[in-house]
Amino acid sequence: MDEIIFDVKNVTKIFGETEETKVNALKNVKLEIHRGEFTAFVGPSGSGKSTLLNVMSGFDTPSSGHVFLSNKEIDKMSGNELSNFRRDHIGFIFQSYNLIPVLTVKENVEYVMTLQNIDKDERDRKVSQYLKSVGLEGKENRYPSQLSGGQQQRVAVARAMVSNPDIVIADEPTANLDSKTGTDLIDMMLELNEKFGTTFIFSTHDPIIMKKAKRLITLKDGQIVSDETK
Amino acid sequence: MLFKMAFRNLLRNKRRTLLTSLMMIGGYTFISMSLALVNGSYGQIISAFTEQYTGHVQVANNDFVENPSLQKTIAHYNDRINEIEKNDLVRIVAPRIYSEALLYSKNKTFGAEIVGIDPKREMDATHYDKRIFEGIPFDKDDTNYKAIIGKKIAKILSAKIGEDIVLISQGADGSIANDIFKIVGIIGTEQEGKDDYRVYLPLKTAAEFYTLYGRVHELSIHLKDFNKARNFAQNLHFTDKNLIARPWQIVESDFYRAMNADQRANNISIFILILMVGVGILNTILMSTLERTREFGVLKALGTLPKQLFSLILMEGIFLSLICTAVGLIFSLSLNYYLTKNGIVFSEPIPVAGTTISELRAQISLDSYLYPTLLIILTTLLATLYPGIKSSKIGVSEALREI
Repeated sequence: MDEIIFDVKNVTKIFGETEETKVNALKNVKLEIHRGEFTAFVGPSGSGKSTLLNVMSGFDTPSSGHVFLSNKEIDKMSGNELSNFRRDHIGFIFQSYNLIPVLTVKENVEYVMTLQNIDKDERDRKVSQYLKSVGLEGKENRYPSQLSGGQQQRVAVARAMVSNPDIVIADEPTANLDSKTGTDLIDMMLELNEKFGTTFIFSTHDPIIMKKAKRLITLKDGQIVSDETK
Repeated sequence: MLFKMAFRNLLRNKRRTLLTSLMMIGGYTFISMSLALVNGSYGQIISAFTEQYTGHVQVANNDFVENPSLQKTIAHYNDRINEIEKNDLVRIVAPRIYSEALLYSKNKTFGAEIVGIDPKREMDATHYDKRIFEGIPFDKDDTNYKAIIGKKIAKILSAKIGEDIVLISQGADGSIANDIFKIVGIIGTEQEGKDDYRVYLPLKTAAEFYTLYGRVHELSIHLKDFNKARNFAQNLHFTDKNLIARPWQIVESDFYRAMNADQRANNISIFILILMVGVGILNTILMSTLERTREFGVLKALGTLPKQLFSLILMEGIFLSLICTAVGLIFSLSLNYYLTKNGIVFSEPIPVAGTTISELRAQISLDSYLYPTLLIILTTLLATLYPGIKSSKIGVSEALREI
């Protein structure tokens, strides 16, 4: 638990170019995430949660400061290095599932492994293992449009975890789900966190996640105003 | 996996893919049919023109065409003919004498071009007998003083079959040549042509009239395949350095230029068609990529490299073009086959370059399929480049913000 997996050093992110349009979305944010944590970023809309996740994922570059993931400075990486790094180290879960509609459940889950050139037998084994973990065995050949929202988000969780990333980043994963499905999903992720030791970071408004998160980081106006470990 | 995705993406919006496919297949078939018809019609026109008049290669004194003169002749022409006809590419050689003369009939005179022809060879080479609309052709070994006159001359001189006509000219030895010829035929087609102001004489009679014994001005070579005229002319050499062989493209340079200009105009039509097909493909690929911006963001977030994303979009274009090319090929093979067998028959013959064509037949060649195949595939690749590059360069957070 002591190994620092994410190290965010004095990150500032400014959007807009002119004085009138300039928005200071993150202000000198300092943060360390340890391996195996189940952390939630909370705060009102516009507090900087998603911006912080985007910067930590390498989707956005910080205006100043540095982001290290597993001791690699991701804000200095080129486009291809960053793609490869994300593929091998980060799993993503999005608010609106974002499964690839032309791929089946099985193909969606194994997509990242095909990018990693993992052989077919290994892919099949892991897809089967993770679909079982998220309770979707038997639905391998269905397309996303044939699944409910909750089932789609479970596929997204399996996709995010199947390649054994160092960290799973989830941007409001329960926002489009009803409370029962949301609770089930969070319980499942907690179970995976405990079973595989995978680090989870969420941005959320969801009180269930806030309740179940082991660490709660509150942002306001682009700054961390509280950092509470349960 | 990208391969699978590319293929399935084509089926995502079936109606749009179907419409684009119809446009590409239609474009392919139309281009292929146009090329086959153009090849066929040009072949017909060139063949009709060269076989009626010029021949495919002409042998003459090296400046006879530019500065014709009675004295610029080919001696021992029979030996030359035998020599040329040994070549397997040659169908027949027709010797000709060219000069001018003043015609006199019923107190009217007219200056005309005189052409001495070997009746048998000319009949085999140019089928001149088929252009005689009144009267009869010469006998095969005619040595009589007979003449076949052009229809315009007949009209000007009010001359009729069986009447006499007087020709006055100068012999090659400087003597005055004048004699009476019996009109046995009137030559010319419904359209204006070279025959209208010509007088044809049997070769031996013309040689006697012009004191050109054993000599002619031109050997008109008719090949089995007119496309080989240039090469044949280039490889034809004579011990007499005054003789030169010219392909029909040089001899009839005006006609050749007109054909080329027509072909260029046709190429412009095909280019416009390709442009339309290209814009259609660009529109389809662009629409299909723009509405998937968010999906591309997800793929990039998952670790898909920009070049892989570019390949995905390129593959979609290639699949579409290959499928459409295959279908277009089947359609155009069937259509072109029908047009080679049945052609398009005109209600009335159309005059072209001094001759007429009554139907348009396609000519199947590799070009008719190779060009549309390359054009459709290349156009698709070009049309795919912009959306491919644009999508591969998109930022993840920007793409994920797309609805």
